Parts: sequence; C-alpha cells; structure tokens
Amino acid sequence: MRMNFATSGRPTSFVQRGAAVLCSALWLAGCGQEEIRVYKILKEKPPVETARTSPHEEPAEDVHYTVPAGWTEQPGTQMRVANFSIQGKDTEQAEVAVMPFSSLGGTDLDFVNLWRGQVGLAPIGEVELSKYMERVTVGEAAAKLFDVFGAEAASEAARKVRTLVAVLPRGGKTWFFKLAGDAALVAEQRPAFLDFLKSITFHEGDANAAHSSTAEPPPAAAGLPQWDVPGGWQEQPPTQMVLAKFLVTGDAGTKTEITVSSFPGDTGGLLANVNRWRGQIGLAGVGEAELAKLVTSLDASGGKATLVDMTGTSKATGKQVRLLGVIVPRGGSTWFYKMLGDESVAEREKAAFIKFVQTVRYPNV
Amino acid sequence: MKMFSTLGRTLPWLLVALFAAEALQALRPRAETGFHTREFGRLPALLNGRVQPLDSVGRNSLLQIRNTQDVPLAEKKAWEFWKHPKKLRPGEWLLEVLVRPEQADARNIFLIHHPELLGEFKLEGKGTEKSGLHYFTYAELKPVRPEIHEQAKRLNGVDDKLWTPVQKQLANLERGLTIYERLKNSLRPEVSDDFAKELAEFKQSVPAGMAAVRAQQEGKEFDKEALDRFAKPAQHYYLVEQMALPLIVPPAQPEVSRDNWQNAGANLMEVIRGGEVHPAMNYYAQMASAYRQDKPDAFNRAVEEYRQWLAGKLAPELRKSRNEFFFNNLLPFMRAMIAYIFAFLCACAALATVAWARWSEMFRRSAFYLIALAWVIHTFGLVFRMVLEGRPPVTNLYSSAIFIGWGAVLLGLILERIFKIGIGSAVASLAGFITLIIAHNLSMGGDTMEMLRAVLDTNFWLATHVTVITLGYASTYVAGLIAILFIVLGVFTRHLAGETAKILTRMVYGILCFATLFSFTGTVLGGIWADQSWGRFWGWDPKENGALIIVLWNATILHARWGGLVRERGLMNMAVFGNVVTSFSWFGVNMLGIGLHSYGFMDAAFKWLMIFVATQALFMALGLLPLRLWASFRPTKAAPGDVPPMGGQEKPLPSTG
Amino acid sequence: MFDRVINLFTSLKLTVALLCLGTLLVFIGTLAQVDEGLYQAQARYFKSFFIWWSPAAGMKLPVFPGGYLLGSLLLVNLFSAHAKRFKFTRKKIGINLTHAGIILLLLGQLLTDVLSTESAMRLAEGESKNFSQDFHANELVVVDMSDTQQDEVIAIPESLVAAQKEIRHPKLPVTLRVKRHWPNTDILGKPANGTVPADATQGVGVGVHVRNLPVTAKMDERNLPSAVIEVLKGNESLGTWLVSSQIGQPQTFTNDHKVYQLALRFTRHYKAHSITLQDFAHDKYKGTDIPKNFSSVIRLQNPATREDREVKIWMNNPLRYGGETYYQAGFDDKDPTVTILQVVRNPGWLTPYLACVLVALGLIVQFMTHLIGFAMKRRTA
Repeated sequence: MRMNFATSGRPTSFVQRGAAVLCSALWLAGCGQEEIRVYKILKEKPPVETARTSPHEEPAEDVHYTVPAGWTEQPGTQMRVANFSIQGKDTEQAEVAVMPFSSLGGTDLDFVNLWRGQVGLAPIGEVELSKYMERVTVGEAAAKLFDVFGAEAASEAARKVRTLVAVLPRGGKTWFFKLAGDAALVAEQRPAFLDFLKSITFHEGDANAAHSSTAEPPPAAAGLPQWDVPGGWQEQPPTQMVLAKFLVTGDAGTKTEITVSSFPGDTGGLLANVNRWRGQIGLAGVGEAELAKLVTSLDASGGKATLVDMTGTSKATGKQVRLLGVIVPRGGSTWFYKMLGDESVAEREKAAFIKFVQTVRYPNV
Repeated sequence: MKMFSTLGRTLPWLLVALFAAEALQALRPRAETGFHTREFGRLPALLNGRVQPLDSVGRNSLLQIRNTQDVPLAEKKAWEFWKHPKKLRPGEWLLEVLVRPEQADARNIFLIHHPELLGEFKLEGKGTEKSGLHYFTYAELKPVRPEIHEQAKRLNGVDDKLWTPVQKQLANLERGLTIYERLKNSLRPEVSDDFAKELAEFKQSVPAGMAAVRAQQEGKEFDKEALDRFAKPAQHYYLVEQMALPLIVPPAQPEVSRDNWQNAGANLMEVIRGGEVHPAMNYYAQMASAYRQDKPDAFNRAVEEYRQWLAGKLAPELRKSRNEFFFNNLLPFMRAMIAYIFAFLCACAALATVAWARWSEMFRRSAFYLIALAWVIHTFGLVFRMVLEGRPPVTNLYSSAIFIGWGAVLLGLILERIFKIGIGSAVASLAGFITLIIAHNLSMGGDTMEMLRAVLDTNFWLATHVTVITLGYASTYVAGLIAILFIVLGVFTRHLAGETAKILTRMVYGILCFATLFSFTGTVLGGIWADQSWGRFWGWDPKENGALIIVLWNATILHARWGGLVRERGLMNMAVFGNVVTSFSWFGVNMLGIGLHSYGFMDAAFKWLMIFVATQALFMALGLLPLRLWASFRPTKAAPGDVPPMGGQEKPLPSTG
Repeated sequence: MFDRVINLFTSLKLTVALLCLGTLLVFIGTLAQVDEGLYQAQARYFKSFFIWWSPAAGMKLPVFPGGYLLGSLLLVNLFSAHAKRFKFTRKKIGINLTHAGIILLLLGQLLTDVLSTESAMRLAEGESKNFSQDFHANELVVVDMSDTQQDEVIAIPESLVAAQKEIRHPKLPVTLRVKRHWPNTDILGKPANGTVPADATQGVGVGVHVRNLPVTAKMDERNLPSAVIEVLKGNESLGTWLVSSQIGQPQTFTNDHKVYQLALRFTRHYKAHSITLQDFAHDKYKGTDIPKNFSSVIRLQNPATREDREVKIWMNNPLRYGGETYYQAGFDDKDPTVTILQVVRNPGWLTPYLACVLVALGLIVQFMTHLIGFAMKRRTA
C-alpha cells in the first residue's frame, strides 16, 4: 500500500492536497458560528446641530401652511424656512420655527436629550422617552411630537420653559417644527400648533412663491379615500352616485345600510342636506333654529364634521328606521356618510359608524 | 416516370408557394367601408404600463373575459371548419362597449361552465351553449351581479392556492365583469347619449358653475341653475375618473413626460380645476357621438383628424401602436403553426413511404421546405415582437414557448440539412407545432407584452442568461423528441434496421452536447445575475434548481455514455427522461408557487404537465422492451444481416472522458 | 484493497451514480420547499451531509445523501480521476478545462457556504446605521456601557439560549439563567387565548403575557423569539427579565455600579463604516402596480479612511464595499421612505465568474473538436 503512494508520485499528492483542502473546509462548515462573540463598538454620539448642517441649504422644498391667529410671521433665517413669534399675556413669549436639516444622524433619544440639555435637564433613557412622545400628523404624514418640559428641572428658570418639537423625516431631510417659550403660553398655543402642523403642505422647488395660506380648493376629490371597514360590514357594489356601500345585518335579519358619497361644493348647505335626509325618512323639514338642536359636532380625520341622528319611518316598508348622517366638508367637496335602517342595528353599529367616519383616510387632493 | 420526377420536384415548391401566398396576402393593406373601425383600433392608449393600440386593449380584455380574441356573431359547431360566421373584431367590440354599451350588453361574452356556479346564480337554461361552454350576456348577468360581487368578495384574503375550482371560476367571472364594467366607463359616462354635445355644454357651464360653487361656499347668493347644470355631468365624469380602465388621453406635454397619460374622466375633472379639455377628448367625443348616431363619415373624419393630430408630437406612440395593430392582425405564430402541422404530416408521410424512395423524397422535401418557410414566418414574428417591446426574445413564459419552438425548429432544420432522412423535419415540425400551441394557450392569460418587474428589467441578462438557458431547454427537447422517434420507429417499424439507428444515436449525442453547453452556461449566467441582484450566486430557488436538474441530467447522460454504462437504447431512454426534466424546470417549478422568480401558479397547466409526463413514461416503457420485441431489431428470415449489432459489439462513440 | 478504493473513486460509474443522486436530491429538495420553506429545505437537503428521517421521536436515520456529501464525493471523484488519468494532450484540453471549472465552482460554493454571511439593513430616509441585522438569527446580548467611548457587547447565539441552561463566560460578570425560551412568540399586554404570563420581575416584561407561535419557515415571515432570563450574581438573583426580539426598547440591569443592557435581538454585524439613507425611490409603471424600479441613494462614511461619498444602489447594481456587497433587496409596504438593503459578505464571490468562463470555454473546445472532426469525416466520406 505504501508503495502505491510512493510510486504514484505527483498525482497522489494532488489527491492528498485536495483531500486536505476539502477536510478543512468541511471541518469549518461543521463547527459553524454558534459561539459567544465579544466585541467593542463605538458609542453612538448625539448629533451636533451646527456641525451637521451645511450653511447654504438649497431651498429645494418649500412649505405652505395656514398661520394661526395671534402668530406674527418673522423673516426666515438660513436655518429656518419659517419663523413666528407669539406674544402672550404680560410678558409671556414663545416662538415657532420650521427647520429642515440634511441627513441628520442620531436617534429620537439623542434629539430629546439634546433639547433637554439646552434647557438644563438631565438626559433620559429610551424607556422614559415614550412618556414624552406622541404621534401627530404634519400635513398628510405621520410625525413624532416630543414634549420637553422642565417641570421637574432643578432650576427655577428651566421650570418655566417648555419646548414642543415635531420631527418629520422626509426626502433625505429631517424637518423640525418647534414651538418653544414660556410654559403657560406653550400649553395654551399647543392646539394652534397642532393645527398649524396639519395645515403644512410641501411644494417642490418654488421657494420664491408666496406663502399662500388659501390655495384654491379643488372642488372635487381626486380619488377614493381609504378606510378600515368595521367587522360585520359587508361591502356592496357601488352604484352611480354612491362611492361605497356596506350592509350590516342584525339578529332577526334586520338590515341597515351605510353609504358614502361625495359631491363638489357644499351642495346646498347643512340645513338643506339635513332636510333632504329628513324627507327620506318621512320627517318634516326644520328651520335653522331647530337644526342646531339636531346636530352635534364631530372631529373627523377630514376636519370638523357634523353628525345628525334621527328616527323616522321608512317610506318603503312603513317601519321605524333610524338615520345617522355625517357631513364632512373637505377640500371643496362635501362627503356624506349615511347609515339608514333598522333601529336596533343602527344603535348597535353607531359607535363603529362614527369611528369609521373619523378614521377615513382621504386621498391627496 | 419523367412526369413523376417533374411532379416530385415541383410539388414541394408549389406547396411552399401556396403557404407563402397566403401569408403575403395578410400583409396587403385593406380598404375599409362603413365605420373605419380598424383605424379606430390603431389609436394608442396606455394600459398595463405600456402604450398599445385600442385593438390590443380590446383583444386582451376579451381574452380575459371570453378566452377568445374576438366575438363570433353566430354560433357554429366546432367541426364546421368551412363556416366562417361574422365576428366582431376586438377593436370593433371595444368601440361598441365604449360607445354603445346597451348593444354590447347583449353580446355573449361571459364564460361560465361550472354547473355549481350556474346553479348558484340561477343561470340554468339561459345563455348560449357551445361545446359544453356557456356564454352569457351582461344583460343576463345583471340581475345577479350584486350576488356575484358579494360571493367574490368572500375570496378576499383567502390564499388563492386554496381556492376550489368553483371559486377560481367565480374569481375569473368577477374579474371579467369588472373589466367589462370599467371599459364601459372608459371613454364617456355609460348614461351619456350625445357625448360631443354634452361635453361642449359642460365646458360652457364651468365658469358660471364654479362661480356658483364659490358663492355658495361663501354663503352668498348663488345661481342654483348654473350649479345644477354643472354639477350633474361633473358627478358623471367623476365616476368615469374612478372607473376608466385604459388611459386614452395622451400626455399634454409629451416633451416633458411621455408617461403622463390620463384616463378620460381625469381629464374632464381637470376642467373643473381650471384646466383644459385635451384635444384627444374632443376627437373621442366626436367619434362617440357619430358612432351612436350612425354617421360613418363623421366618425371616420374624427378618427382621421385625431390620427393626424397624434402624428405631430406623439408620432413615436402612434407608430408603435400602429405597428402592434399590424402585428396583432398578422397572426404570424398562428400561420407558422398551421404550416408546421402540414409539414409534420408530410414528414410522417415521408417516413411511411420509405419503401417508395421517390414518394418519400417528395414528401421529405415538401416537409423541409414548408418548415423552412414556417420558420421564416416564426422568426419574423419573433423579431417583430422584440422590436415592439425593445427587449431580447424571452421576457415571460409566453415568449419562452415561442423561443423554445424557434430554437428547436432551427436545430431540427440543421439536422435535416445534414442527414436528409426526414427525422430532422419530423422533430422540427412537431416541436414547432407543440410549442406554438403551448404559447397560444399561455396567451389566454391576457397581455403577453406586459412590462417587466424591476428585477427583470435588464436587457443584458435577459439577452444572455435567459436566451442561453432557453436554447438549453430547446436542445434538450430536440434530443428527447429524436429519442421518442427512435423508440417508436424502432419498436413498430423496420425503419431502424439500417444505418438510421446509428445516425439517430449520433444526432442525440451531438444535440445533448449542445444542450449541456447551453444549459450549463445559462445556469451559471443565471447564478451570476442572481449574484448581481440578490447577493447570492446560488440560493436553491426552485427556478434555479430546475435549471440545475437539466444540467445534472444532461451531464449524467453524457458520462453514462462515455463510461459505456448505456448504449443506444439506454441513451434514448435517458434522453426521453430529459423531456420530463426539462418540462419540470420550464413549467413545474412555476406551479410550486414559491421562490423569487416564479411567474405564477397555473393549475390548468399542471394537468397537462402530468399528461405529458405520463406519455413520456409510456415511451420509456416501450423503450425498455427487450430488443427482440422491436420490429426493427427482430431477427428476420429475409435479411438477417440487417440487424445492427445492438448488443455488446457496438463500439461506443469516441470517448472524451 | 487500496487499489480498489482508488478504482472506485476514479470510476465513471461513481460519477454517473453521483450525478443521478444529485438530480434526484435537487428534485426532492425543490419539492420540499413547498412545505418546509426555502430556508429550512436548503439547510435540510443541500447544506447537510445526510438527510435524516425520524420515524419515531428520538430516532434519526440517514436516508439519503445530502448536498455536502454528494458535492464533496463529486470533488473527490473528479480530483482522483484526473490525478490518475491526467494527461495533457490537445484532445483533452476541453475536458480538462471543463472539469477544472467545475472543481472551482464546487470549491467556491463550499467556500461561500462556509464563509459567507447574509444580513440586511433596514433604513428609513435620513436614518444612519453602522450595523446590519440577520433576520434569520437572534442573539442575546449583554452590553457593558460603562466606558465613555466604547460599549462592550457580549453576544450569545440563540442556540445557546435555547438549551435553557445557565450561561457563563469569562467576560460576563454575571450568570444568566434561562428560565424559559420560546422560538417564536407574540407579546401581549393582557392575557388572551394561549398566552402564559411572562413572570418577569424587572423591566418591560412585568405583567405582560407571551403567546407561543409555531416556528415559521416562510420567506416573508420572521420568528420573534422570547426568553425569560434570570440574572445571577453568584447565587444572588438580580431579577428576572423578559427579553424578546419583539421588544424594541433596551432593558438594563446594574451590577457593581455598572449599567448593562440586556436584550434579545436579531444578530447584528457591526461595520467600520456607516450608511445613511438619503433618498429611496420606488417607481411603478404608470397605471399599474408593477414595480418599475427601486433605488436607494446612500451616504457612505468611513471615519478610518475619511471616505464620505454618495452612492446609488438599485436593482442589479449593488455596491461592493469593505468586502461586503449591498443590494437593493426590498421596501416596506407601510412606509414608503424605508429601504431594505441586503448585505452579503462572500469572499468567494468571484469563483463562479471564473468557473463559468472555464467550463463554457472547455465545453466549446470539446464539442467543436467533435463537430469539426465529424464535418471533416463527412466531407471525405
């Protein structure tokens, strides 16, 4: 046997070498990487605002918005594309700034701790962060709002100031919308600030255009909104005038129907529409004064909405029916949501219906 | 005898001339009378992400709804091939759907054949039956339309692999109905009558109407009449915007964006937002009104004026859609397929008449010339498609069938040119015919020129990997087909009793070498592509595995041959199994419904795949019969010397290993 | 005896048998993907020496050779056949080239299997990361955060956690006792069908409930393992934590006045450079849902080499950097600003390119010699 090895010379060593390579490779494959690894990584540094912002940011995008009452527009600066001051009671003051930054690293926690540092607060950890964060919308997009409030700060001065910052990553940039100032005034201006955020729209590249707050509203919606259909609602094929239709069936086979429609303009006003509905369930028309008693106001995703809840009789069956209607004026169109049908089913589905209306996501107009 | 030899020489050419003349007459432009619906069918629109003629829009919609490319106006029995009932061509049908929906509603286009479905929607006794298929009109289905929709809704969220046959057909029906309903609202609102007039009035009503809207919003006095005049059509157009399927309004500024097509409704809604009605909409409105009012001259004028308008800034789109229309109506693959059938019959006749050399030679020549002609038509279609799409030959399953056929026919022709025994022709014509039949069935799925998903959008890899691997498929099939012929001729005839067996073996061996080269290179190129796009050379994805199996199997055959483990018969049986392996790779893996590059789940095809596998098994079983049972190798008293040495004495081919 | 072994290993019969078995294996392995999923089937059929069958619990029988075994036998067969019969003649150039290419291909794939790692980087626009994650593997990490410059990470693979024992390591100041481990879970705030209380005394796991889910093998799903870990200093318990790949926020424990982070997370691979997503584009064909193109514009920064540049990564056009390749792999359905980059480290990535050239060249030479020989013979005949 040995002889064979010796005499076969080169080819055998070929085999041996091959086998050696193979065996080592297989051995490696066999042991795998299932062991404990220990390594060091650099701590992630909180970002420094000035260092990362290039001084000459081209204004590639422009923001439009509606200015709330009591805010005074100030000239923009290199870093701030929009700037407002708010004068409160006595000497209370606050300011609002809109600042886009390019490619900012850092986590939410880093930002919050940076702002906390600015008002002399101790840094917090990731777990606590959630206490200071909530979700808001800037224009159509979801953003995070951080509340840096020095109530528990050590110094008297720090306790007086409060900063609200909405952070919106968008197109390679991070946009900051900041409301900062005296704590009481900031708290008072918070709703106005949130409305301001909702009114934000971005426009590509027309930095010189006037900051218009009343863009011409297009009268008709450009596409179907999206919604979450509550459980038990069966979708029906839409008909000519109706964009969406759902059917809910009650225990005894009783039914109620939900329809969604949209028309340009305000289609005659609230009174006319409520009276149109009243007519459908055999009720007499009402005047402006009674109207106020019938309707309640509702916060819907599309803006302020009006809810009306009426009981009448069906013209077709002569049975008692309930009509719940919501009217949402939005972007030059009026959206109608109507639930009409059996009283008990309507009562059961009322909450789902209202939630449905409130959570409709409208398309960009 | 002299007469016979003249006939023998001229008949093949006559046959070719006949087929060529038939194909050429299709190229001849035809004058239209009445409504110029063919011209209408040439107008461009954007659908499925690409510009296509309205003819294609109608054709692909009909394929999805009715599984045919046109609408026959009278029924005939399947075997009554001499009857040619009048048909609605796809462009004509589309025009009717767009403009005369009430007439289109009465066409038999919706296909339902599951008895359970017919029962569920109470459709028994209605509709038109043709060879077991029931066709219904929209008007017939209208009463149960909500119910169909309701039932189909339930399929939402159910994994389509779990659908029962009834559910699948229900989903198809719902899809067809939706396409149809959307088409009806793609040019004008379904309820419209004189669309041109309505559009003109609408344009006039906009300023006053908008003023009224604004006044109303601000709580001022407003002109209620002006508001109504404007709001009603606006609501209709809004619906068109929501429903329309093809985007028929070309980009307003093609120099800025050639992609910016709009649907009719969207363009009309733009008027409300202060925009302009696109000229295309005006032309279409004129066509619509003229067609409804039965005024061919006005219709033809509007079509012609629109065509001239398009020839300005949108000349490339117009050219593309006219070319595609030409291609659609030329039917090159259908023509090639028919020629292949005739050629196959000739090739069979040549093999059957081998005892009468002159007859046989005449048939062989006929087959050869006819295949050559069919292959030229096949190539023309292939190249035309490539130019239309701006792509290499294979972009989807449909085009892979076309290309496999093309490659297989080419190989068969080359073999016939070399060996001149009719086998190459038989294989070429059979391969051409079968692959084109497969392609025809695959085209039933709708648009065969659909846009490519991002990962496939690379002409370089499509041209290299896909083309090479497809040629690998083609050559493996050719080897397999020759092997089948070997078995059939060997078992049932005395055909192989001479040199033929050896020639066939040589053919199979040579083709297998090419198959190995192509499938290996193609597979590795595929790996390299995968490395470029997904970051791994090999991911054991089903499609990759399918290709690997072909390579492994071809390598197995070659090594078994080189090692003397198999001789002629074994080689043939292995080559037949190659057909099974290749079909698994080509179709089977797509049926697994997993992996990164599956084209989609096709269950009808699964049945056919199983039938194919069964036939191949049958051939292999035949091939395994002991040689003494083979007609060709059975020892006969007449010519004992004829029996080729199939046993141990045969010298293996020059070994390379 | 040895001769017989040599003869066996060099025989063409073995080649044919191996190729046949290979064809069968690939076929079976492909079909198995339907039920087992691509990842699982790959490990079971191709990246194994044997395919095991358990007719009963605790029993394991090898029933078929796996991919590794067939591959290495083929290699041995090829090597030894050439070693025994190697001759350099003009007639053999083709076949030698082909086989050299195949050897290179097989070795390259073996190398890839052993040495390559695959992970992914999920980035939202504006986000920056210096690590990628392996969504198929998880690790339990203890991070010592006491240093001001660096964090020390002790990463324990999930397989060790799954053994549900005590984990000790010289670098680990405490003992980790694994009280429970689930390979795939859902964590809920309140009890529901099929949940068990997490039984944590510290951290976010206090009062939450864990639902055990079946392990998934689907391509588009991930397993989210959870474990209940008791931290022991000597024999003294510092508390019990619920850790899970589902829990985003880090949890900490304190030992000897040092703060440590404790987390179960997707295995991370840290890099010397960082990548920031500047822009992600995801186009569709007009009027359809067919993706036309995805592309990510990223900023690549490496403090060590002072590199700071912008790179565009898109379909079929990856970035190769630092021994790794970054591919445009996907996007997030819910968030249009998120890109998913596949990160592959594969030292053997060039081998298939070379192998392909060698084999194709070899086959062409081989078959051309045949063809020319055949044509010559016909001409003279």
